[in-house]
Order: sequence, then structure tokens, then C-alpha cells
Amino acid sequence: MQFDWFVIPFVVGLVFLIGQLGRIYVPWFIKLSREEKEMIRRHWWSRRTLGAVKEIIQECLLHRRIFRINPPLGFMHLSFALGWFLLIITGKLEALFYTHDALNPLWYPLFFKYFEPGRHAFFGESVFIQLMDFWLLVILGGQSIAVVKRLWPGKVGAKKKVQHAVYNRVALMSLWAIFPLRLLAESVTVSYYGGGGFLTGTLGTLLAEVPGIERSQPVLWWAYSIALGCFFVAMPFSRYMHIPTEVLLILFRRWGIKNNLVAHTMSEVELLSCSACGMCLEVCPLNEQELVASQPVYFLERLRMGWTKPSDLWKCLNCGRCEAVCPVLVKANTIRLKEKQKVLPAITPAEGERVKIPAIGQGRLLLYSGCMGKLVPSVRQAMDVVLRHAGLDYQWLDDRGNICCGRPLLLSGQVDRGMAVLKQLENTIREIGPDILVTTCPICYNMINKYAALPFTEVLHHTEFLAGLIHDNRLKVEAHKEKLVFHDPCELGRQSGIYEQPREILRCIGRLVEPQDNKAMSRCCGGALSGLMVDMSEKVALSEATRNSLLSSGAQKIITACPLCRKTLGRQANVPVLDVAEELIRHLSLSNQETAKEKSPPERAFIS
Amino acid sequence: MVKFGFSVKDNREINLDEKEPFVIEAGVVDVAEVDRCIFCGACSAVCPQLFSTGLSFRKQLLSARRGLTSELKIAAGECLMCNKCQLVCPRDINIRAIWLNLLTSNI
Ligand code: SF4
Ligand code: SF4
Ligand code: SF4
Ligand code: SF4
Repeated sequence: MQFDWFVIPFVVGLVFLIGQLGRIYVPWFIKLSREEKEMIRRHWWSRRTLGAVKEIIQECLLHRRIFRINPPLGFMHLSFALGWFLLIITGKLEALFYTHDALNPLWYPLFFKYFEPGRHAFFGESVFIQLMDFWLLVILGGQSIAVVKRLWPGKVGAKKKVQHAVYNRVALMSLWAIFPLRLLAESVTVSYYGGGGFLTGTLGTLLAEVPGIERSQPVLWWAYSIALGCFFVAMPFSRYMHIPTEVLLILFRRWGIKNNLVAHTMSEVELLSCSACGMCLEVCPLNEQELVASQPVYFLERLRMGWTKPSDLWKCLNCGRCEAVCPVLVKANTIRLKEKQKVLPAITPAEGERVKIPAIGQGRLLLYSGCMGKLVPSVRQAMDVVLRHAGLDYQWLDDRGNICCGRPLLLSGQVDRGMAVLKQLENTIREIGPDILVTTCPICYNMINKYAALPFTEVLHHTEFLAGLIHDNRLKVEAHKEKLVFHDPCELGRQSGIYEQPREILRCIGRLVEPQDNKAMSRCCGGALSGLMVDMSEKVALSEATRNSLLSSGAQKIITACPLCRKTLGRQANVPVLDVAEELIRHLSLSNQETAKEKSPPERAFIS
Repeated sequence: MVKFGFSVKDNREINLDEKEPFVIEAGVVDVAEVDRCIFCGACSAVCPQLFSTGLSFRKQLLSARRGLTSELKIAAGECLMCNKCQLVCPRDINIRAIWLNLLTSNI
């Protein structure tokens, strides 16, 4: 007898889930662009897939990245994922060993204890019984952490509790109901027929004392099946879609499919892969100040339901701290940018926007200070002093015009227009044809590096260039005793990966101290271009938090490498806030000026 | 001669009887925010678009107050979203957010 009416809710739920997965996944494969399809064809039968399998085991089952950040939460995810997975596998094997028939009905292994109560003699029976109980115990252990996390987030090292939407809570409740119900149902059956493991057996013996307990057996099995069915039905609409989608995401990623401004399928895959774990919530500077709920965990949740608000799109600094900690590596800011683009109307660039750049001759070294450079002219002036000191001839690109790199437009959501502006800049640079383009603004640097095609020009941020000059002994500097702290601009650090070069310079001219949050976890200055709708009071709060974090290092000066950071922090700080170049000119040693008279840029601008 | 970007404009006609739905009243613009403006012109002075397209928030706001709103949408489409204006504005007005609201609204 392998059927009972109570399996119906489970079967219906599972069939519904499979149908929904097909409805969601199949269009993705169809929508992939030709190149992406080609990429899958080339890579699916290669070592990449092996790597993906390894990553799937590490991330989807063991949750290594979460473990590294927060061990209790890591265990919670691990116990649910690994425990459930092994419960299913062990159950399948148990049924297989008992029946010697791999084609038993779907529900049979799940409700094995009900269909085959009591003890049976088959190979490995006692091992299976104990194992099944053990996996159940692992899951229940993880579940208790989940309950603690809901009630007292502080106890498991989570600062903030994620406020989930209603449908997610329904899914959560059914998930939480599944395993205790399974335990009860099995125990009651065991109390009647015997044959349980260390968990169900013990509980069964205890329950046997309760008079009339056997009458609750059908109720419990029904409830267990209904909980499973409910969870499966709720899953496609809830955050638990991440369970199957993350597998697909890892495969896609390993096969070389990327999430960027032009590819759209991967955005959708990433969107459904977010587990709403809330890691991003903890690190978002806007959340620390209790300001806005636009962090990926909320933003993506609303996006899945199509409920995004303007504040979700424009009240984010694009600082990238959330992406830096995300265990699923969701590129939330790329997704956000594409959503902005959908809301905004297409704007044709105005005629006058074509910047007229005065003809300047061919030059090897071109300095570009960008529009922010015009607002903070001292950086450009300092660069002028340094370059003349090093005996270098250079041309200043935006000498007489105000040339935009297009990134502000791009970040505001006007992607096409931003790209058009960049194209003009690119053409201008190509006409001049420099060997090296030095930009004093990380925002321009990031934009040009990522999106401009300048095959014959090396694009450098001025900190890279200056560090190269010092390293090659082209620039002689003197160290003072002042304690300097470096503020990593988001666009330079997290988004361009330049952390060391500015520090290299500071080590040569003073005593470098490190703040609480540095490098990949550095804080936004508050003035980020992307925070279009962040109010001034909120910006001030952000700047203050950043300043406090920086000054916690005991520094006497804050040094940064972005005109925008310099301006924003400069308003808040009670210590001097300077650009690297500005600080550098105070340390140029005059005695060695003659030695650096050759007129060519450094051989190696990078410090390896 | 140094060009400051300010020039004499041709006469324009403002018909107060046929005032278009005043954007400020239509809720696109936060009244409390723009009311803080003291028309100092700092925003226009730093604007990178002033030279190329003649974009000036100060001018547009002044015109809008007088009922001339026809150029607002065009001006909104000229902004480069660089936020330099807010950085220098003595009254902390979030000018590019106003432009963005104008762009996304259907006025
Ligand atoms: S975006 Fe990443 S960190 Fe944030 S909730 Fe989703 S999975 Fe977690
Ligand atoms: S990019 Fe920065 S401000 Fe935006 S959600 Fe992420 S952490 Fe928060
Ligand atoms: S800078 Fe501010 S106060 Fe001055 S005109 Fe512009 S918006 Fe008005
Ligand atoms: S944000 Fe717009 S209006 Fe303000 S200075 Fe930049 S281009 Fe001009």
C-alpha cells in the first residue's frame, strides 16, 4: 500500500512548483542573446562546469561565504540546506534499499515511516533510521537559530532584523512548520509501531504514555503534507526561489555570462537568487543611520513584486558596500541602474551639449580633471606643481572647457545619454592621442576605464601615476611625522580596485594610519553622485559617521583622492581634508629637483 | 572680454491668464524646498552646462514663479546630474532631484 489521501497536498504543491519553475526558467534560456547561448554551448561540457559544481556545493549547501562573515548564520543556512538535501537523498536510498525498486512513487520516501511502520529487516536499516533522525536534528538545530534570529537578532551577531513582506512570511511559516511536524508525525507512528531512531524513537516512547495519541496520527501526517504543499506553492513567489535559482546562477556565471548594462537575463537570475539574507542591510551606511530602506534586500524584494518606489532607485549612494559582502554576489547596483533607466524617458542630447574643445597639440601626457576638478581647482593646481617639479610636460584637457565624462548621467539612470557624452570625450582624447591620460577624479577614471575604448592610451588615476613617479625615483619626497589617514573613495577603491597606490604615496610622506573601516569596507563620504534623492540632513549624518570612523585612527589629516569626497568631507571635518596631490606638494624635496629633469613619463606607472 | 554666461534676452511675453499648470503647484516640485532659494546664482555659476546650453536653475525657477514654465522640461533634459550646484548652494537645494522629478513627471 503506497498511497493515502494525505499525500495529495504535497503532490499538488510539487507539481505546481515544477510548473512555475518551468514558466520562469524557460523564457530565460530563450531570451539569452546569441553570444550568451554560444558561450553556454562552448562551456557546458568543460572544466568550468566542474568548478561550478564545486561552487554549488560550497555555496548552496555549505554556505561558506556566510560562514566567513557570521558563523551562527552560516550554520543556520547550512543546516537547512545540507540537512534537507541529505534528508532527501538518504530517504531515497532507504526506499530503494527496502523496495529494490528505483521507480517508487514521489511521495513514498517522504512518508516512508507511515507506509512502512515498525521495523523491517533490510540492508543497513538501522543506519538509515539513525541517519534520518540525525539530519532532522541538524535541520531543527538550524531552525532554532532562525527563531532566535527573528526574536533577538543581536544574539546571533545580526545587527538588524529584516522586515519581510507578508507573502515571504507565509512561506517562512510553512517552512518552519515542516520539520517539527515531520518529527511529531514520525514519533507518533513510532510510538504505536516502534522502530524509531535516537530522536523519533525517544520522543515516540515518551508520546506512547499519552492516552489516545494514536488518533492524532492521520492529523499530523496530513498537516506535514499540507505544510510541504504550502511551502512549494508559496516558493515561486517568495524569496525561497533563491534555492533553485542560485544553482542556475552559479552555472551561468561559470559559463561566462555576465550581468552588465546591456545583458538583461542575468539581472533576472540574480534578482531571484537573492536570499534576502540581510547581510547587505548590516553594512549599508544609509541603514546604520536608520535613514532609508533601499538596501538590496528590500529593493530586490520590492522589485520581485514590481513595487519599486523612487526612493529605492535614487536613495542609494552606489557605494557598493552591499555588493562587497553579498554571499550570492548579486550585482544589486547594476540591477538598480537598469531599473532607473526603465523609469526615465529617453532624452536626446541637446545640441549645445557637444563640448567644443580648443585645439591642443599632440602630447604624451594628458591631464583630465573633470567637472569636479573645476569645483576643487586646488587639486589641479597641485598636480601642476608636482608635474613641473618632476620636469614633465603635460597638457590639461579641460583647460578652457568643462568636459563631462558622462558618469553622473549614467548613475542617475540616463545611461544612453551618459554613454553619448563619454563618446565625445573619447573622440576628443583620441584626436589628441596621448600615451598616458591622468585623471584626478576617480569617477571619471572609473567611467573611462570601464566604458571608453582608448587602445593607445594608458588611463591612470593620479594616485597611480604619482605612486609610479615616486617609485621610479622621479619625484623626491620628504617624510614628515604627521599621522595621515586615507579615505578610500568608493569609485576608486571598491569599484576600481585601487587601494595600495595612494597608501604607497602616503607612506612615503608621512605616517599612515588605518581607520576602523578601510579598503573594501570603507565608508561613503555621503556626497556620492548616485544618491540623488538623499536629503542634505542624511548626507550630513553620513559624512559625520565617515569622519568619525576616519578620525578613530588618531589621524591629524584626512587624505583622499577624489574631489567630491574632498569637498563633502571638508565641510564636516574639523581637521584638514586634502587630496593626495595637495598633500604631496608639501613634501617635495627641493634639493633633488635637478635630477628629475628628463622630459618623459615614468616607465612603469603601476606599482606591482 | 571674459564671458560670464549671462546675456540680454529678447523680450518674452507672459500671459498670466493662460498660465500653464504651475509645476510648483502640481506637486512635481517640493515647494518648501524651492522657496528657500535666494536667487544668488551660485548654482548657475558652477554648472558645466551653462556655457554649452545655457542651463540655469536660477533663471528657470525665476521664470516658473512668474508662470513661464514652457522651458522647464527642456532645461531638465539638459542637466548633466553632476550635483555641483547642490554642493555650492547656500540653501542646500537638491536641484538635480528637481530636474529628475520634472523628467519623470508628465507635465
Ligand atoms: S542582495 Fe545579497 S546580501 Fe543582500 S539580501 Fe540579497 S543575497 Fe543577501
Ligand atoms: S550601494 Fe551603498 S548606499 Fe546603496 S544600498 Fe548598497 S550599501 Fe547602501
Ligand atoms: S545656488 Fe541655491 S540659493 Fe542660489 S540661486 Fe541656486 S538654488 Fe537658489
Ligand atoms: S547637476 Fe545639473 S544643474 Fe546642477 S550643476 Fe550639474 S549640470 Fe548644472
